[in-house]
Amino acid sequence: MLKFIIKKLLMMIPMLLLISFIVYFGLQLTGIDPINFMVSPEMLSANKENVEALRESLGLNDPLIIQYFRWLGNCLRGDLGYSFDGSSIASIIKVRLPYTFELAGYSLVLSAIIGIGIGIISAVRQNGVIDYVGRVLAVLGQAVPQFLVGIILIQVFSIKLGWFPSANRVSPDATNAFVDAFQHLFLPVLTLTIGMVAVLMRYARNTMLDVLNSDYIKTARSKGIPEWKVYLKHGFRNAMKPVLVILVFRIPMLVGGSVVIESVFSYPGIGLTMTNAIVSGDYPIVLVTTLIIAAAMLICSFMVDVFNALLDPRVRLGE
Amino acid sequence: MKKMLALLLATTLTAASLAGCGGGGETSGDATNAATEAAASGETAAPVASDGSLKLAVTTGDGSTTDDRIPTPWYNRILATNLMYRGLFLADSTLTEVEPDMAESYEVSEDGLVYTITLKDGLKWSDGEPITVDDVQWSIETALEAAQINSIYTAAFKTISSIATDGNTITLTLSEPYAAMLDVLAQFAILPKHSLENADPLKLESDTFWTAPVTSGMYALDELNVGNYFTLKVNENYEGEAPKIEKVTCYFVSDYVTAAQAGNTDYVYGNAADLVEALQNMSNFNAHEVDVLFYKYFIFNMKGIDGNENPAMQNVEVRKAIIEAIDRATLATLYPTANVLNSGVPNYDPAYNGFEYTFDAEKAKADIAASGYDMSRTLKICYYNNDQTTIDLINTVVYYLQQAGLTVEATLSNDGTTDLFTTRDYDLGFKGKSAFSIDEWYTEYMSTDGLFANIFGGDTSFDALVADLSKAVTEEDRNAVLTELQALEQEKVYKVPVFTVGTYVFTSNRVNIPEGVEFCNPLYMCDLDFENWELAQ
Repeated sequence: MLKFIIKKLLMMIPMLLLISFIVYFGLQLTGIDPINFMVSPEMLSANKENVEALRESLGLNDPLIIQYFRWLGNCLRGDLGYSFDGSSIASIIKVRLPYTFELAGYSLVLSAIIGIGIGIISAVRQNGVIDYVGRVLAVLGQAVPQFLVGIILIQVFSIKLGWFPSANRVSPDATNAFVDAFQHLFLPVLTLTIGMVAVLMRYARNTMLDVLNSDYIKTARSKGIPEWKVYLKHGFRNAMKPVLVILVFRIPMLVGGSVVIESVFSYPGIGLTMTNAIVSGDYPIVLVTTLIIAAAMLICSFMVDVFNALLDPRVRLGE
Repeated sequence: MKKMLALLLATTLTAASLAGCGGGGETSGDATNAATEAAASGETAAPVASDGSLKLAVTTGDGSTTDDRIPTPWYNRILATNLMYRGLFLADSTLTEVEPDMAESYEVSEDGLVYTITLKDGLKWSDGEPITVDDVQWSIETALEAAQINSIYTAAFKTISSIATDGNTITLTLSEPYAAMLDVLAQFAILPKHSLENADPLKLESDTFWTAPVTSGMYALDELNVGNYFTLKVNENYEGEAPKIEKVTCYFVSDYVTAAQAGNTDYVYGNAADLVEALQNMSNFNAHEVDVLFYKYFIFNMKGIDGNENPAMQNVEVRKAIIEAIDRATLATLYPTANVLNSGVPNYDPAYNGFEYTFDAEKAKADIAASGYDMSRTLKICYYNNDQTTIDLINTVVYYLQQAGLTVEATLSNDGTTDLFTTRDYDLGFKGKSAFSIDEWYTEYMSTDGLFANIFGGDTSFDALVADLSKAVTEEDRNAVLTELQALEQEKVYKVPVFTVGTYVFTSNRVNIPEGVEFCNPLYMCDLDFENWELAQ
């Protein structure tokens, strides 16, 4: 097991390096010159000397490969560097990442409870009212883009009803931090949750149905075990394994999905930072934020492997 | 089991719905009531703010402003920065008439070369340090070394050959007259030398100073919450009349319209058709139309300074015919307020020479054919604004040119500056420019221009006239130079204005603005009598 874990962890390093290399050169191919977003065209017209000095001081005149390895070297020394607009990337991450984790974390918990709950009930009460409603909602939740859901929620709950703020994470003069956090998080969390609930609901329903039609469930019933015990002890436990895998795999997607949602809600997490950085060609920020999402993906993949190994003895690790 | 599952689901759903109802109602009851009443009456309404602060929105969606510091006053002068920073002079809404602000008095020599300005006594920064002529001198000298700064400052300050200070007086000696010097000084925010003298001028915009700035205006920073907002409080060291509004909250947002609809701002500006339409439809916002020099124009990719020509656009008759093929008056209807113009001088300006580009599709078609233009080639259009109005405009232009028999391809650029002036894979470009004055339009023709020389080939024929324009102090001289410049630009046809777009300032009806206040270009500073603005109770 230890060998398996070390092997998986070591494999992440070349993968992250490869991802950073691809992202770095991919960004260069977009043709966006960050200077054009830092300096007005009028300034480029009127005083190109100062602009050239700025370009030089940012190291943008160096060959791409040198820029890349300079950035990589700094990262390996623990220095994430500075964005082109002068902000410390470590400070940006320190402030923004907890916001994103908060958003993704609440969405994960809420969607797991609601999605799995409704999925299980739909399976137990197959073709019942909850099953039909759940199936319709699942299709809707998957079919409607998250940003559209976010915009609709803003229109209804922020603009028409005025119940929740449409943007930001903190209000000035908030008297109760908990209530303030709740108000700001409710709509973005709900938006992320709706999309995820749909997936989990369908998956939980289908796996539970498969399990309930298994021979060992019929055997349990024939032994006269109470129905609730059959569902909970024999059905639920076995149905949850694949659902948990899906759930863990959704974590990086939640972080990635927050890129869109944070932009819609002007939520100051890592996703909004990344969006603004892409627009303005701020490569250092895009690289670091992309790597964070990639690392989350790799870690979750690793966790799934480990979970599978722990839950299913048929999986033989490192052999 | 059934009961357990039912209980689990019921608990989950109840918790979710209770949470949803409880949180909103608890803290924004007024807002809810107001919005509901408004909705019932069929109005588009934002919730009324419950606190006593003026709300402003600072957009971060275009990548030019970050939400981890306050916006700086040397790039654009938005209202938030105007409340914190002042200049030696204060302009009226035309931006061309100025009165002393931090200056007590001033004198300009007859030849227009020496400006002697005396600072008011007792001026203080928000940290209590005195504001001195050293701050003024340092600010001007640093502006010349800065990269992220509005070019109107560098263009004006380049003409200053020496700066001398004596007590509370500063003397600027110019190498040549600069007619708009006082107007520029009225926009230029003086910054505190004692806080910034060790900052790198090239990266002044990103200095940590802007997270806790020392200010000179009627407000000082109270709190900056990264990514969310910053608040302003009355600057106790401001020597002028204290503002009636005691607190200003500036939210970092990605969309002005949503911010306005959600009650997160009392002040919005812009010229995009969708923004104007949305705000005009909100009954709780008042519109103030502002006439600004926001040019929308075509540029022709002619020739680089490296001599690399675009053969298809060398014939001036082709360029004229292309313009004749486009009905600019119809294009203007895409914007709420757009005035078609035929040169850099608006038609209402006394210096306008009366020339008009007329739309004549048949003549354009015949002229293009007669010019020897290769009709089998594809005319390439490049543009960079991705708002729907611009996309509609470009599609219409493509249609007009196709009617003239041309094969046309339009490309939306991610980085207009690079694509228009470096990559240059196009024939006709479409761009916008928010100009401080007409001079800025003509400066683009200079052979030394850092961008336009790349497509106009470094043609020197405009240079002397543009230099004369910046020196022309009297209206007579100025009109004479402008007349010559218009004739030259209409002969060369390197760029052709489509129209100027009017800008709107919208203020919410929470704000009582004193009688007689006229708004200026919202990216510059003028006297808005802000100290007498009040919030409705």
